[in-house]
Amino acid sequence: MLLPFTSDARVTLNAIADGILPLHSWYAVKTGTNCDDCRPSRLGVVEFIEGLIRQWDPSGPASIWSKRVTNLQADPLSSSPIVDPVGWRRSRGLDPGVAFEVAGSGNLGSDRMRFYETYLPVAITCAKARLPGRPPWPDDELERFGQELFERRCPNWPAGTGLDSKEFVSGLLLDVVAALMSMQGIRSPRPFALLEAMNQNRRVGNRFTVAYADVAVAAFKRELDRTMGW
Amino acid sequence: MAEIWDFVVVGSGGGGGTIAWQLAKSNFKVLLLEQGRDPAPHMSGPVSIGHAGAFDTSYHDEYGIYMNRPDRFVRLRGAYNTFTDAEDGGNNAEAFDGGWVAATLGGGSATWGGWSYRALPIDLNLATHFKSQNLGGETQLDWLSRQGYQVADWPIGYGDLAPYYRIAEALFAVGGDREAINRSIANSDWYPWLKSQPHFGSEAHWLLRSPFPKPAYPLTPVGHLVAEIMTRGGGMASAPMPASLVHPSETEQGYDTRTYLQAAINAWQQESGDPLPAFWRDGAEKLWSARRRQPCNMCGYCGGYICWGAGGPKSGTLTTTLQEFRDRDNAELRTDSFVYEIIVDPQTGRATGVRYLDISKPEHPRQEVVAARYVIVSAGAIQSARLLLMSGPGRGLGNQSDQLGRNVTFHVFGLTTEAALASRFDGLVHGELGHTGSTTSYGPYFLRDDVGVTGHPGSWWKVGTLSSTARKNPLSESGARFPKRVGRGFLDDMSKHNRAFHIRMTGDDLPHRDMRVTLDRSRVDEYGFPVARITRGFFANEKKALFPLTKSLFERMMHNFDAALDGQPVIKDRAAVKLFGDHQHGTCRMGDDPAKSVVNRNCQLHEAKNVFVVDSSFLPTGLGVPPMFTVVANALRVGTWITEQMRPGGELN
Repeated sequence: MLLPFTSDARVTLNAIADGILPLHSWYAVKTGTNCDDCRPSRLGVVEFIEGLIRQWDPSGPASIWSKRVTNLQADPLSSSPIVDPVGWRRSRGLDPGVAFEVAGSGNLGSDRMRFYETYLPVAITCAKARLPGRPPWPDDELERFGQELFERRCPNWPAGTGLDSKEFVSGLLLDVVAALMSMQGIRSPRPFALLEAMNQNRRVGNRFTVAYADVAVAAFKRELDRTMGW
Repeated sequence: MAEIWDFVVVGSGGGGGTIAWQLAKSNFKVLLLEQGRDPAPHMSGPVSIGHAGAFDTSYHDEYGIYMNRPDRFVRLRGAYNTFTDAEDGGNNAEAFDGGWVAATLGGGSATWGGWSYRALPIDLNLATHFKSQNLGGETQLDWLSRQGYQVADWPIGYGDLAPYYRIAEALFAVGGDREAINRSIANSDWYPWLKSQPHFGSEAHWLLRSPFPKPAYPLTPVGHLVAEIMTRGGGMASAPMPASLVHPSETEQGYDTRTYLQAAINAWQQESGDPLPAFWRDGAEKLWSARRRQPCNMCGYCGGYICWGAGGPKSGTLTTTLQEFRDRDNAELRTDSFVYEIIVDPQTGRATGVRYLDISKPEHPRQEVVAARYVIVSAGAIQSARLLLMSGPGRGLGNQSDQLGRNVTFHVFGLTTEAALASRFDGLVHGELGHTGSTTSYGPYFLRDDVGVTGHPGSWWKVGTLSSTARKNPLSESGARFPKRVGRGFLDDMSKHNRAFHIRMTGDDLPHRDMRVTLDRSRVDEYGFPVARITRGFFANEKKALFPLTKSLFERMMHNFDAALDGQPVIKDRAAVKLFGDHQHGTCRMGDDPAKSVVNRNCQLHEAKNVFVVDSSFLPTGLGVPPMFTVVANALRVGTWITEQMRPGGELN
């Protein structure tokens, strides 16, 4: 049972999230302003991931589709309405052998349940060995840990599992970024922390006016003219 | 006795959704089948502009749209293509990720970015043009033919399309600055040269006097920057990009389509000495409801998204003709209807209806058959070709001359220069504002080879329009999907992305004998039907002319902007441009000669006159502009022709 996440799972995900997306320390360097609340671990990342996983509930559409893909790969013509699909194919000069390759098309979706089911136990084992004691750990240590995982050189990543630490942190990073863009209504104390730090104004529910655009263009033009010496 | 429809229309995008309305409005019994679902049922009800439910934030879910397959609405579940590079022969199963095709009600016109260009007259007679150009002792057409290109003139002239472009601009509430567009054409390097050519035609078709229905969409910082680059760097006149979005400054009462439609009809009547076709003589009061459309709020979720405004700020069939279509008692819309065969009577060779799967419960598809006097296909250039290949005799319906699926083109749309501004512009770029584009230019519609990169110094080559594109979605475009690094470095990358912009060439690739859509020999979709296999390559015209000339233009444009940039601009060349571009056209070429084309000038299959194809498949050659607007205009043209033919006492053959 993957959900609810165990305490170990939450600690591990939060630690790695803070390490691979150290928004708080990046923002502090950029602005000179402390932003301890910008840590992914404080911004609802784990809740967001739990939400993604719930979409892959065995009775959910994504999970049903995934199973159907497995069946179609075994019997690609099982849903054909053509009475004699082999004869029909022959009449059109097509091969008798068929394959359903939607998985190769990228049109399958990323099964977050399977992803975390697969990687979390290994990641927890790794984190426990790599980060002794209890949180909070030093920021630098978390960032080093994240780098090691991404670069496949973490000595504590269990050998012989066939699992790739880079694939894990890449998948997790995508979920963390998505969580911090606050697109799915996860409650968070600072729902747009990442976007704010980036000076990125794209938000769910945005509304602007012509006047806003005019002001934006004028400010941009001033800086461009100054830079270019026009 | 089974019901017999006058018309069954397959596909509800720019072509199908438009003509379905026109035929239903003409009192024909019309059944519209759309394989996708209705993504925006809130739009089908009465809308009170400005009320609390006028916007629905769920349409801003970037994770859902870009990541959470297979439930995203852009692509039908289980649909994919196989792609073959004509040069290396590879054969990969992939989604058609480029382009504004969508398996959803409204099709690509529901998810497009609203870029509303008209083609230029030269687009319709490129063969004649190339034939008039000397290229080292042979004509440019002969040179292209030797390289395998199959360039053809259209069987219709620009004048045949012009009034329908104007109608389309009214229906789609297009905002633009015609004088600026005219300047970008007339002040280009190529215009004086082309004007001296015997096939130039009437200047009135090049430099239009009629204004757009609405003023240009507000300029954005990226649009301003690119206008400066085009003008100061490229020596080109820029113009606001014509956009199909109800102008943000529209009154609270909203856009009144009737008013602008009537104005377009009146202008057509004024310019035409003859009586207008009967359909249009009815006037806007009879043709269109009093429904009004709410102004765009510039939220920035346009290209790739269903507009979140229930009152239809972004134009497309979903927010225009399909709304009117649904008002009709003689018309019916069925979504989740995947058409897999046009039924043909082997005795007469005529279509008698279609077979489709009701996939509203996708694991339990239900087979349906409908009978119709006429079938209109508009499933997108790839899927229309596939449907026809799966219909009729073994070779496919409409494929008597082995032309079906040939001459497919995609534009060379990844031909861009990409750059990020210096950190001092942090927070000033505002890529979030409005639609993806902002500024355009017809300046490079033709480029001259001044230094002989093509081997023919002084020769002119067809290229296309330039457009500014703002970076919108930090999730899909900042590298989050395929990170190069993690930690602070990744955040630096994201931050730089926020200052990035692209200048994009809609490069006109020419149809080539080796580019074709066929049925994949072994791969099938969820319902066991062969998927479309797309074969494409870049050939001499792209390699020797389009790539190097565009690269040279980009280098010249960006040359003096180093001070404003963070690093060097990345100019994409052959190696970086995706083989399969964003648009798709040309699989059912329109022409008078059945041996060299699939449909005639009225978009009827040569082989089965009661089957029409009205999506971008009909284009004999690609354009130097996005095709949506030409598809809509052409659908109006064909719809008008049909209604004229079928007036009381008349009959289509």
